[in-house]
Amino acid sequence: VNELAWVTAQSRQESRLVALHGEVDMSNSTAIFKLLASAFSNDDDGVVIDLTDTQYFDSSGILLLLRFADALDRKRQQLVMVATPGSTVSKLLDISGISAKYLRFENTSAALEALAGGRRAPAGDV
Amino acid sequence: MKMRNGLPGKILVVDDDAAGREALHRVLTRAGHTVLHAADIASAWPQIGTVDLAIIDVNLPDGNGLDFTRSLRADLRYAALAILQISALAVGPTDHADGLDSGADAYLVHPIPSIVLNSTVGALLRLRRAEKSLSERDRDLRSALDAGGVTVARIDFQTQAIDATEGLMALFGTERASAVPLAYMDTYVHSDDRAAVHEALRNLKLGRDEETEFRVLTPRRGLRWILSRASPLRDNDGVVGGVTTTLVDITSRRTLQGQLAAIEKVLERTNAALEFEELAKRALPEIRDAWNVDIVALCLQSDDGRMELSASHGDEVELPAPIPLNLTTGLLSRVMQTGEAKAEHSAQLSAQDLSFFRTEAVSAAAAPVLTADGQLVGVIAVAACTHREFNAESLQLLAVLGARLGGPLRRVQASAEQRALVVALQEQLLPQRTVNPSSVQLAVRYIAGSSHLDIGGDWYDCIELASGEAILLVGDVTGKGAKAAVVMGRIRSFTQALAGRASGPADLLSGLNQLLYRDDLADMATLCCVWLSADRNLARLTLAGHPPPLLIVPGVESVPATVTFLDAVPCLPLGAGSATRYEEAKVVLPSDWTLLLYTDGLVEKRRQNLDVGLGHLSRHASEASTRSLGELADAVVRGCSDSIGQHDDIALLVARRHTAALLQLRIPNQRGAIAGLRRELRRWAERFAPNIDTEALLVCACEAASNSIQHACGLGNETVEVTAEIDQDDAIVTVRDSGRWRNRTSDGHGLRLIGTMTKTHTISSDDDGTTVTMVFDSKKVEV
Repeated sequence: VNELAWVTAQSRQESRLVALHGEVDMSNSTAIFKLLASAFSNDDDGVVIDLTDTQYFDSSGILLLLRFADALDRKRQQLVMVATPGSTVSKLLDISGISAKYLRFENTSAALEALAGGRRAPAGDV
Repeated sequence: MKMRNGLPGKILVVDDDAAGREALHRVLTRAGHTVLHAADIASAWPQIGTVDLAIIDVNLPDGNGLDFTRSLRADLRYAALAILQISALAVGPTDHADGLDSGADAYLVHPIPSIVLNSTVGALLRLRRAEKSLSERDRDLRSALDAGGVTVARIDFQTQAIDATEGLMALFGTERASAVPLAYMDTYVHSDDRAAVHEALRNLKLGRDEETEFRVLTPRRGLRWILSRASPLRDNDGVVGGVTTTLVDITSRRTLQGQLAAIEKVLERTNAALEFEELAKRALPEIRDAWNVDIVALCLQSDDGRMELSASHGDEVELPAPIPLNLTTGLLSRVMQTGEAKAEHSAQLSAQDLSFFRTEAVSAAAAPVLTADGQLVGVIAVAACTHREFNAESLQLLAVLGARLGGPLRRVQASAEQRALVVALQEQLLPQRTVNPSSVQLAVRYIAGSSHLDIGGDWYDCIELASGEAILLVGDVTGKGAKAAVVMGRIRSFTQALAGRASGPADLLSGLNQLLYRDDLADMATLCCVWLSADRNLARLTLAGHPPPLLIVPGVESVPATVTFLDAVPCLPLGAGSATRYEEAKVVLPSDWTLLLYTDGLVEKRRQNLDVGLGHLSRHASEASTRSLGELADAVVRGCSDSIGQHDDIALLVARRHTAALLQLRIPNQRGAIAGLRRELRRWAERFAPNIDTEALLVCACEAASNSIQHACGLGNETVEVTAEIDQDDAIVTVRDSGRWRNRTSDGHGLRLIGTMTKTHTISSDDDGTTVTMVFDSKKVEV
């Protein structure tokens, strides 16, 4: 995206796995959003966003996630996140309220399993 | 003439060999003695009463020297005479023993080296003199005669017998009805008192009245003290033929007198004691000796009203006091209940009551310990493992002791309370937390002295003036205790009041001195005042009777840190004189520095050169110079206290200017600049704010900076200024732009993060721009 961050994406079963590496801030969040939007196809059940290798994350990243989730919602696709418990990223997700809206897992396999099992997020319950 | 053995005496040499007499004469006169001569026993007798020592040859023309010695020993007139037996012919060990058996004090065989003769004669004379001085006792017990039990005895020098009266027999507790040979007297008289008795007899024979106190060992009644007032009996020709004497049993008086003296001694010692352990250590042995017991125990009420064994003396095992006691039955509880002194013996003594003793008590007495206002606070108990009578007077004196012991005990407790009070007062009067003047970090420590006599009066303070100058102060009020603490509080207030109007440290101290002098606080105060310029590059220093501050300049790369005491003209302490002139020294400071201001408790030890203490301080400060400010302060206090041992009050103020610890960045108003800001902040935080959650600090700082970049508009808003600094345990980050935020609530996420992840934050906007100030503390933000 720029020298601070890069995105890797792969297909797993019926889902897409996207990992954000490096630092996400106001300088690259728009570019990352565009990249994510182009990375998923309509065939996927959902998207797993892996933030375990994200070195820096702030409100521009949160805004990015919320916009992306909104886009997925409109296609009735599900967003699932992966973040290391106790990390600053996890805290930011908690503070911003994203954690309450979307499922978050400790690792990608748990996240993929959840998507495959068709578990729906407790959207709107909170 | 040199006297080898110090004591010149009068010596009679009895020897038939003239050459031998001459030899002894020469040696003895050279040693300073007066020497008389006798060639036989007959010519010795008339002279023997006038000398201190007789040197008697074994073989004499008119008899055996051993027999002569025996007859001398049998005569009480010569009881105090020292006898040295000498012999040339008899050389076997049996002869030696015979000589001593005859009553001689020493036995030497020719040839006698003069050094042996001199040392033997000297030793014998010293022995006699020591016995004499023992007999010179105080005679202020005339009232004892009123005590009753007076009996009369007569001694007949002709028959060498004591006429036994019934009273005397009763006194001695014997049943012997006939006269007692005078020679038997020594078997009754206590060995320590024999010399005195014999001397009295000698004086009586010379026709003088004699008054003597001595101890006798009676078969039935044990050791008794006797007061004898004797007069010589003369026959019609005026020759002394005997003695008549009145004898009084003064045993109880003597014992009580000893106990009274012990009470005085105990109270004298306890009054000087500062702590309970010291008091117990001084008082209990005195009590044990005076009451002639084996163990002394002091039981006192603890704060919660329970009885404890607080101290004991004389028991087999040193008890780790205090031991809680459960006093329900027995001697101690009866004393507690009745408030009266009591004595009990084995049959009555409750095992439970004195069970804390390892030694089994056969006789015990106890009395209540009372305060001056009669409040019962404990029990003092004495116990013996053999039978001991505690008569009424002895018990009464134990009660007197108990009644007077409570006062000193209370005082000791009160001094512990006073210590706590002064510490509390002192701490109240010191600033709880100093506010860092801009670009200077502070750490302060106050450590109360070891004993209450050492607390109070030490202080520190930091005042930042409107001009931006800052004043660092550490002072010490002479005198200790609550008064010193209060005076210290006043000096601090005076200083605060005067600081704003003073032009510098000398001016400030002159003003303070005037106030102190005028107020006649009757106290002097020392003070170290460091006046920092607004840019922190210059210090003006005034020392009023105070040790100099220590300056640490950090090392650069391979150059080590330097530690120096700042020089200033030493001026008189505050309050020492109204006309004292205070002078200031100017010190140019480097960009980074650490200053230590301290009171003498940190460096001064009694009887130790101050330089030694300053050396310790310098070394400990140097070793810890790279540590954080709080760690440096702790290391210096710990290091110096260990070097000094027991310490006085300590006040310490450490100030540091660390320009590197102040991060100042200007970033261009571009989105891409945020990453660089993050790197700078991360580097700074890891070095200077290791206890702060770095990630939270980065997120918040970048949120604020992002906001500025995203939203600031207006003229001259090309850059965003970010500063980070350390304030005690907190990190403070400010982000400032020169525009206005168009819409602060654009998405709300940024502010929400700042609100949640900082300790406090403020956003202020004015015409020049918007400033976000965020404070982070070491506690991690838990969400």
